[in-house]
Amino acid sequence: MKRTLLAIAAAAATFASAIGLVTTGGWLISEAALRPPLLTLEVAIVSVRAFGISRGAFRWLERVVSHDSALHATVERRTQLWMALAKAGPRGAWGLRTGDAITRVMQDAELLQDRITRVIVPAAAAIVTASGAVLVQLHLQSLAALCFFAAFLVAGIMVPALAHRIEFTAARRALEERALVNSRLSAFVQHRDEMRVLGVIDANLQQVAVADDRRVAIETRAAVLSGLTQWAALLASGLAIVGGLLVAVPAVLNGSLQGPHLAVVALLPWSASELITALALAASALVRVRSAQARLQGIEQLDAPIPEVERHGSAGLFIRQLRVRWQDSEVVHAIDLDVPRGQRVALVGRSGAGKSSVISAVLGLVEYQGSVIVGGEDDGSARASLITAVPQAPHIFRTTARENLRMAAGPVPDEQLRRALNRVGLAHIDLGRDLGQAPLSGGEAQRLGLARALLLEAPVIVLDEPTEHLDEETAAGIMATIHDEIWGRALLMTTHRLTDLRDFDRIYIIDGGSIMCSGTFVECLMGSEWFRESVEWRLDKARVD
Amino acid sequence: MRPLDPELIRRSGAVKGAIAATVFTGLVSAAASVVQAAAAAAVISRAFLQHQPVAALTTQLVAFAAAWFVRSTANTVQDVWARRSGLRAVAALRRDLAAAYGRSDAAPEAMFPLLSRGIDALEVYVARYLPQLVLAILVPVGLGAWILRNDPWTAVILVITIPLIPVFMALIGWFTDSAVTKQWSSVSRITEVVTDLFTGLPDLLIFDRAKSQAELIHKLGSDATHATMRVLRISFLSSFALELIATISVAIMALGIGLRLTSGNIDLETGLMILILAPEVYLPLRQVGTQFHAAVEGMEAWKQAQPMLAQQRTAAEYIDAPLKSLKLRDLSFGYGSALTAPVTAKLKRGTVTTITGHSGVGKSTLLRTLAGLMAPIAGEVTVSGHSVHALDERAWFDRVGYVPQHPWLGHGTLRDALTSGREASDAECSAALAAVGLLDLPLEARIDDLSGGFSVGQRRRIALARYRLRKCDILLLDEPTAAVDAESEAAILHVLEEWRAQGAIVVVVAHRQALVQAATQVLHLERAR
Repeated sequence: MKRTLLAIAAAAATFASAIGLVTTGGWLISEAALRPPLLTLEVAIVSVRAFGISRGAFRWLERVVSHDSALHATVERRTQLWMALAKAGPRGAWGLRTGDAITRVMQDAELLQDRITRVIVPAAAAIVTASGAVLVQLHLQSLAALCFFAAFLVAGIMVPALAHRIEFTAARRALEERALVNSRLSAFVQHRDEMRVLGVIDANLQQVAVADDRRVAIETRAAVLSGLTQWAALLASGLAIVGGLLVAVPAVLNGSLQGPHLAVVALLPWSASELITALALAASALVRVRSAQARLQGIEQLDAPIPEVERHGSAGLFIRQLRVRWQDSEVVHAIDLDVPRGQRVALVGRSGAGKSSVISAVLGLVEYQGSVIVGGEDDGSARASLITAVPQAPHIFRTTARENLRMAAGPVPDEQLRRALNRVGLAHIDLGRDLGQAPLSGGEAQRLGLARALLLEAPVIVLDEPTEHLDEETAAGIMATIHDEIWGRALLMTTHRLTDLRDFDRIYIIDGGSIMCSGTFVECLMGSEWFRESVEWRLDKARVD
Repeated sequence: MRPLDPELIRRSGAVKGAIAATVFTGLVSAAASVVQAAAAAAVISRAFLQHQPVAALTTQLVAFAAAWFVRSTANTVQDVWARRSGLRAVAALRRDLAAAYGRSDAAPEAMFPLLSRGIDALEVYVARYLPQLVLAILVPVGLGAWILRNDPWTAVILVITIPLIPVFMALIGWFTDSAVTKQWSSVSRITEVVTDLFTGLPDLLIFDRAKSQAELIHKLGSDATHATMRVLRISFLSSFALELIATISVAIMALGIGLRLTSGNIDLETGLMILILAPEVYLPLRQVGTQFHAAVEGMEAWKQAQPMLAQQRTAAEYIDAPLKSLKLRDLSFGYGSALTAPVTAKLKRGTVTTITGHSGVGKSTLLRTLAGLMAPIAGEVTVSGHSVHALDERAWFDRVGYVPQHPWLGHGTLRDALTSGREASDAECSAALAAVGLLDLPLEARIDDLSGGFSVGQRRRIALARYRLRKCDILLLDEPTAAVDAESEAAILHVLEEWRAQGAIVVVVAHRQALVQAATQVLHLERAR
């Protein structure tokens, strides 16, 4: 606030110096034309020099101060936006396409800088300086002052205010189009390889271009509109100057205005036309700031209430009457599932049967109805401290292996991290390796995800197909590690490698969103044809080898 | 940093348009400012010294009003035109750059920041900076000549101070160059990180780490702010210096005129006119300084974009005959350093080759290299005697099917994902889906960028079905049966067998036994020592 006030004062001083420079100069040479003794001009001569220097100095001060505070404000705002995204959770965030979300957090947030540098500071300074100019003018020639005041009021305030509504609609649409361009670009950049092979590069570029062209058209219209307000500002200033001359010239003739002051009366509104255009420019900037703010509020108002984990009953994970919807249909129908402490439980079924939806609900990544209960004596009620997990395709962040491992359990010493890597067969990965520069393979990523999850000592472990992307030998090793690690905890796992489940305490078979059968491995072999056939298929394949 | 790159003008019609429009409106505006200054000076001096009434000054007042009108209009037109050119130049350049990236093997990470905000920043450069640069040459010369005719003494000051400004600008450009590059990399970095974090948001939420990343975003934001402020400080300071040169010159002129007036060496009308005109001479020069900081980011983006834009793909060889085999000759591949010992192999028509090897050995990387999506480190991949990299892009890719581990299905309906721009009837689409074991999915089902309702296994099979609708000679599949059930696995194996029987070259990265068994040839990779 203090800095903004300082910036406004500096901006006003800049405007005032510019006006002072021209009007004093005009007065000086008018007075000089009367050939007075040089001494009487001394003050004016010094002032002209001073104004010349102070204009530059004040402008410098204004720009440094206002940009500094605007940039810092943006950093704060962006951080808050991220928090809002985090709070909204994936349901909220998934409603946004990646490019759109990034555009909001980056470019739209940056537009807010203009609020200080291009709206508040110049507008406030222009109003302050214009008031001063009107007062000076009033002192010299009241009718001329009235002319300037009217021009300022009409072109500086009324016209921009009228244009504001139309401009706002255009600016809002322009930002939406920019976000659309960026979403398409971000998909294009990310999936270029497949687009190249499919031969759809041009088609995708065309889509980018269509949105970009629409944006250009809208922005051009907005530019014409703001150009018109600028034009109005300039024309009004011209009228104020002519009007001022029309009333001041007779005043000189009848002696009510001193001759040398005529130049001041004429040049003051001339140099003050800058103030009117500054206001018109600020109005255009305000439109963009407001539309950016509207888009940011879109994020801040995202809300996806995901039920908390319930804490009661005996130790373990218990799912009661769980329902999950996707788009317009229910994909999980009121299922119950028990994973008591110390037991290994699997959830299996055809691809697309609803396994991942159940897992996502347990992890709190989708909205659901029903209860996810974690019983037992463990501390805390936060889902993240009770349930640790490897999702189907764990995201590896573009940072070091160390930071990636610490994502779950926090600042764990390197020794422990190395042990965790060893357990999943990733001993060859250096903790300092930048996984953005030297990416992991699919199988390595899967295992790093497991190492990361196992570092967190939570009573419940959820693993979504932990052995995919792994060769048989490595997969067997990973299953062994999992069995070692979950001692005394509750494990819920999905997999298609059904033969891994022989030792599991219980297997739930899901189909079409409902539990069809549950029991031990043998019980499932008896109870489910699908299970029997799938196991046979795998055994058959393994035997030939 | 060069204030104006001829390459940019050559490339962009819109930039040429902006410059042409600025030259025209700039000349009109300069002429009008002369009339305006002369008329205003005449009114003031005649009313003041000769006590002429308004009636006698009508001509001058009308001339002033007309000149003011012309000038305001010319400036507005210039402004709007330049904005429009800026927008168009940016859209065209974005398209060119994206197309160049689309033909290249360049890494994707830095591209999004460059294509989005980097190219956007060029708009300010084209719309605001470039016109002022043009005016900064035009206006001083035009108005300077007029002033020289009327008051040579003042013109001397102009001649001395004006050349200082371009020299000064060149110095600043040189001085800010590295600071600007740093600024761009810090801004680009934060965009990359936010993208990475957003993509990994589900993982962050599982571990409740999303909020703690705010600290990282804050830190990177502060870094970017410091880098930006460095650039701004330099450019504000230089703008201050330019402004000082300009205003002090005007002040000296005013004093000079004042002193000569007292001694009667010049008349008031001329003096006033010069006084009004002098700041106009310096205005575009001052504007160049003022816009500099806003334009530098665009200039830097242009610098970053240029190498890719300049890239020419010379590959234009064609093959007409059906492919016989895909040969790998002493092939070394990897990102930077070779992952395995050089591989030599011949993959024939009508065979299924599986690539096996330990996790992380480079199976997927080999597949990308075979697809011609990344250049080998050494050796080559050839078909019918042509190096894959020398083939015309379409001539090659039209024969290739490529399904990576996490396939892209686009943003639209299931039908769109399947046809991907080609003609295919609903019956064909459904048949292709059925072949991969996806029986009752509606073709109108929505597919999302991110997750969108389909399981990973389903997405992979949809991607396979897509190539069943095309006729491919070579199929490169990365673990097509990962995350699918036994039934679907059987269906997929059947599709592979179909392809093989049709005479295709099928290459599969495989972990599962079933897939390895389906192979007619196994390519086992070992980590390089």
